[in-house]
Parts: sequence; C-alpha cells; structure tokens
Amino acid sequence: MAKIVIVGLGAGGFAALLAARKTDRNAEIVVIDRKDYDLMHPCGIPYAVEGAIGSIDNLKHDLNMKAMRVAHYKNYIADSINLAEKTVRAHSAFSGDEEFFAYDKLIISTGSTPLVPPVEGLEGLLGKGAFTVATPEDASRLRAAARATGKALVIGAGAIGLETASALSDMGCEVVVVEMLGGVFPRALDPDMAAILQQYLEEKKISLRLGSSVQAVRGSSQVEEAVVDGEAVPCSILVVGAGVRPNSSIAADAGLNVSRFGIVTNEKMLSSDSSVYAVGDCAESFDLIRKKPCWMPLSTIAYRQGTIAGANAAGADESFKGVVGAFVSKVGEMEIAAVGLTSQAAVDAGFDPVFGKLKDLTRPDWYPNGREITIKVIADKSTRKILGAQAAGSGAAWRVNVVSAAISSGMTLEQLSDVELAYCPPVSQTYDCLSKAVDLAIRKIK
Amino acid sequence: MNAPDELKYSKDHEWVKVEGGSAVVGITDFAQQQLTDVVFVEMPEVGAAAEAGKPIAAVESVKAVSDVYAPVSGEIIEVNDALRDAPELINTDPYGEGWIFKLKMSDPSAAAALMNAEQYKEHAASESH
Ligand SMILES: Cc1cc2nc3c(=O)[nH]c(=O)nc-3n(C[C@H](O)[C@H](O)[C@H](O)COP(=O)(O)OP(=O)(O)OC[C@H]3O[C@@H](n4cnc5c(N)ncnc54)[C@H](O)[C@@H]3O)c2cc1C
Repeated sequence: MAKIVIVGLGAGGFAALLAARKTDRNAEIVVIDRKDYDLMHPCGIPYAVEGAIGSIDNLKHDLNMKAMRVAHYKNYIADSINLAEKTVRAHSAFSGDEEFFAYDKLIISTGSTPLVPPVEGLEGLLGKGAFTVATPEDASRLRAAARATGKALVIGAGAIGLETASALSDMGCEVVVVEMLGGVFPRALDPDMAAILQQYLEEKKISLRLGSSVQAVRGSSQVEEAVVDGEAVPCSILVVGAGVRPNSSIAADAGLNVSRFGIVTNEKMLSSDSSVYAVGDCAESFDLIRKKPCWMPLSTIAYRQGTIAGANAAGADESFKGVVGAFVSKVGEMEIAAVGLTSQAAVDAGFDPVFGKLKDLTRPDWYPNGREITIKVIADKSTRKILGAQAAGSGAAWRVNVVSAAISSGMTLEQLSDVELAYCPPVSQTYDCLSKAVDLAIRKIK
Repeated sequence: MNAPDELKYSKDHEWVKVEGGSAVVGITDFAQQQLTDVVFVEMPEVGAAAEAGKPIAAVESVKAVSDVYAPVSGEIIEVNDALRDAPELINTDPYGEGWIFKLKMSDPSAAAALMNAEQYKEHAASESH
C-alpha cells in the first residue's frame, strides 16, 4: 500500500489530497501542516478586512479528514526531508516533540511567505501597525486597526496591495499606495490599461505614488509615519504588499534542485528526486508562451498542479502543460483581468507585438445600463499567435478567460476571431468587444 | 463648435493647414464628435496620388466607417503613424496630434478656394440639424 505524505495544506496540498484519494482508494495519506485548523482561503483576506464575507473565521474551512481516511497532523512544522531514507522530520508546535514520517511519495506544497522589503524600521514595527496580508489573524488585526485609526499607507500596487487599499478606503481610512514601478499591476498591465485603474483609484480618493519607494518606517511603539522619497507621510497603518517568496528552503536543504522560481519540477510535477513532487507557490512553473521556467504564485495554478501531483503520487501518469497566468482582481467596483504577456514583456521575449484595443459597452447602446469595458488583445505580428489580453471593467474576466484558452491552445488572431461568443442584450453585444479588439489587431497587420 | 481660424475647411469635414506648398489634413472636431470613439484609421500610402473630392483614407468607430476625402489634389508625403496604435488621438486632439496625412499640393493656390472657419461653422451647423 502506497504511503503518500503531503507537507502543507493550502490550495495545492488540498487538491493533491483529493486527487490522491480519488486515484487510489487505499493509499495511506498523511498531511502535515502548521496551522491549527484545516484549510484557509488567503485570496479572501482583503475582502474579509472590508467585511464582505461576514466573520473573518469564514476564511477557515474544515475538511472531513476522517471520511477521507487522512491522518492529519495539525500544528506540526516540517523541519527537514531525508531523501535517502524517505522520511520527513517534523515537530509539534505545542510539545516540541519530534516525529519522523516515512513516505513512498512526498508532495511538498508549503506555499510562500510575504516579502518584507529591507526598509529601515519596518521589521521592528511588524504587528505594531505594520502588517503583512497572509493569514486570518492579519485580517482581524488590520480590520481592528482600520476601525480605530484613519491613515493607512500600502507598499505595493499588486493585487494584494490594491485589494487591501480598497478595503481600508471603504472602511473610511485615508489611503496612500506607494509603488516602486511606474504603474499599478506592473507585471500584468500595459501603461495605458493601468491608467484606467489609476483613474478609478483617484476617483475613489486613494492616492497613488508611482515610481516611489518607502525608505523608512518610524514610530516609538506603533507606526507613526513612513518616509516616501524623503518626505514624511503620517500613517498609523502600514500594509506590506510587496510580493511573496517561495517556501523552498526545506527542499533546498534536502538537496533538491531549487531555482530562483522555487523547487524545480518537470511536467509530472516531480522534483529532481523521483519520489518527491512539488506544487503551488513553492514550486517553479513552465511558461507556455515563452517556453521556459517561470514563477506564478496563483491559487488556480497551485490547485491544478496539486491535482496532477496527487494523482501521479497515487499511481497515475498525468502531465501539467504549463501556465499562461490568467489573473483577475476586483478593486472596489473595478474588475481588472489579464493573461499572457504585456506589450513590453512581449518585446523583451523577442516577439513583434501588435494590438487591437477599444473601449466599448457591455450591452448594446439601446439597452439601458450597459457598463464600460476597455479591452486590449496582443498578438505576434509574424506568427499571428495570441500573446496576451488585458481588460478593465464589467465582464473583464470572462473575456480574458476566452483569450486564456486561445493562448494555451496556440490560436492565431484569425482563429480567435472565428470563435462564437454568446449574445443577448442584457448580457453582451452581437459583435462583442473581444471580437472587435481581435479584428482591429488583424486589420493593423494587413 | 471648435474650428480654429488659421485653418481651411472642406464640406466633407476635413481641415487643411497650409505649410508652403504642402498641406496637413485631418478631420474636424465636429466630424470626430459625430463618429464617436475612433478605433481604427485606414491611412493612404506615402507616394499615393490624392485627387480633390475623392476618398483617400477612412476613419472607423465602433459604429461607423467614414471616408476621409482629399480636400485638395497632390501627392501624399507623410502619414501620422501615431494613429496606428492610438487612433483615439483623433478624438482627443483632432487639430493637433490627430492629424492624418500631409500632401504636396499640385496646385498650391487650390486651398484658397476652401471654406474659412466662419463659413465652415455655418456649414456644419446646417448639417447637424
Ligand atoms: C491576500 C492574498 C490574496 C490572494 N488573492 C488571490 C487571488 O485572488 N487569486 C489567486 O489565484 N491567487 C491569490 N492569492 C495567491 C494564492 O493564495 C496562492 O497562490 C495559493 O494559496 C498557493 O497555494 P499553495 O498550496 O501553494 O500554498 P498555501 O495556500 O500558502 O498553503 C501552504 C500551506 O503550507 C503550510 N506550511 C508551510 N510550510 C510548512 C512547514 N514547514 N510545515 C508545515 N506546514 C507548512 C502553510 O501553513 C500553508 O497552510 C492570494 C494570496 C494572498 C496572500
């Protein structure tokens, strides 16, 4: 009977556990996780801060481990892996007692850790007005702080930073977002598309300081101010949304290959050891467009990789092709989605990008209450292959999802133009803005 | 209605800016408002012959495709490449960054026959009824 050990129960570990059990009803499954509950939904944290999901405890989720016949070691921290002996050493957070877990197949799904940038004074004020956004405890403390005080500064204009900024603003805080790069969602959006969200944030009275950085955080016992480009900005809450780093040290220490993107894996989700799989934020992914390793810390990817690794660990032979980075965020009322390469990333990767872009309404103009959407589709001029898409406004995600399918199946502009999109007036237009954008790109090449 | 005094105008809503023997051509503020958001501009080739009153370019919005007529005859010597990626310049700055093409006039005196700003405003007002 195969013995499968899973280290880390997040999106990836959970998917692995389900897939392993579906593949082999008899496998012995052991899960080790440092939390004192089963599952948690990090993606809901910013919305929990704002109060959108009721109690913050709704972020936590219990699983029926008994029915699935899983031995779940809660409050256990995995410390090391012995590849030769095929064991994991872990200790109990309570007693400190050490235990060894033998495995036939090991799945590492340890996730990532928020990056705390080396800003003078920041480390010492963490928990004292300065917060990372990674756990339900962070959400509770942020919510309490936002209720008590009025001024917040957010480092980073990625999804975590902006979703949290919007939550704090809705709670009545005065919010400043500081981003080192030149625009919001700098890795996902072209400057012209970022400008749409930037204008929305301005209307929401969230102030943005782009191309700026925080040099120091000050306060005697609590955060009192941050120094931004040499200027003191008063704030009592400081949110660190500066990205995450893979939790791959346990793998590196064991001697597994680890790159700057995390644990190196192949398409079976196997690491450099044929008994050890790695999935999710701690592992490298394969970029389907650039055809090279990349890192894409998204829940959707962790889940899909987990499904492959869990099945394979239990005896299946499935493959994970790679990722195109389909992404959506909702910042206040603004839905913003992207997939694939930005125009600049396309140039950097050696493509010759052309784009079709327009602003349109989600409904025919004779039908009331159509919402605005701007969409941009990017393709390679010579091969005509679709490289990416970005959309801002109502229905941004479903259109980007169509483009995601087009990219992973290697479609050209002409093939995407042939795709039928469903229409009825309260939902869409006869000739949808996605098709229009694709056709505009085609016309530009002609 | 915005129609700068220093320009000449055609009845088809093009404006002309005479620069010695050449003319810069675009569409008027009135025309861009009628079109709504411009999403594509079909430009002439440099070197093409333009014949007064004949279509030489096209401006497209989501709901319309409009010909742009050559207000005077001549040879196209330059086109506004910025419009390929930013056709919306026609909406945001029709008399400036939204210019469409430049031609070398075969008869530099021909532009004198076009409307002045005052006449054009009247013409456009009569069309908007
Ligand atoms: C605020 C926030 C918002 C997000 N929003 C989105 C979103 O909208 N969409 C999206 O796709 N993604 C989003 N993400 C990213 C998404 O949450 C992650 O990509 C996803 O959780 C990764 O899953 P995982 O299984 O790799 O890691 P995790 O879900 O982080 O799970 C790892 C688990 O391993 C445990 N662990 C780690 N080390 C050890 C150890 N040594 N011993 C025992 N246990 C250990 C941890 O306790 C944790 O439970 C968001 C992330 C955050 C923080």
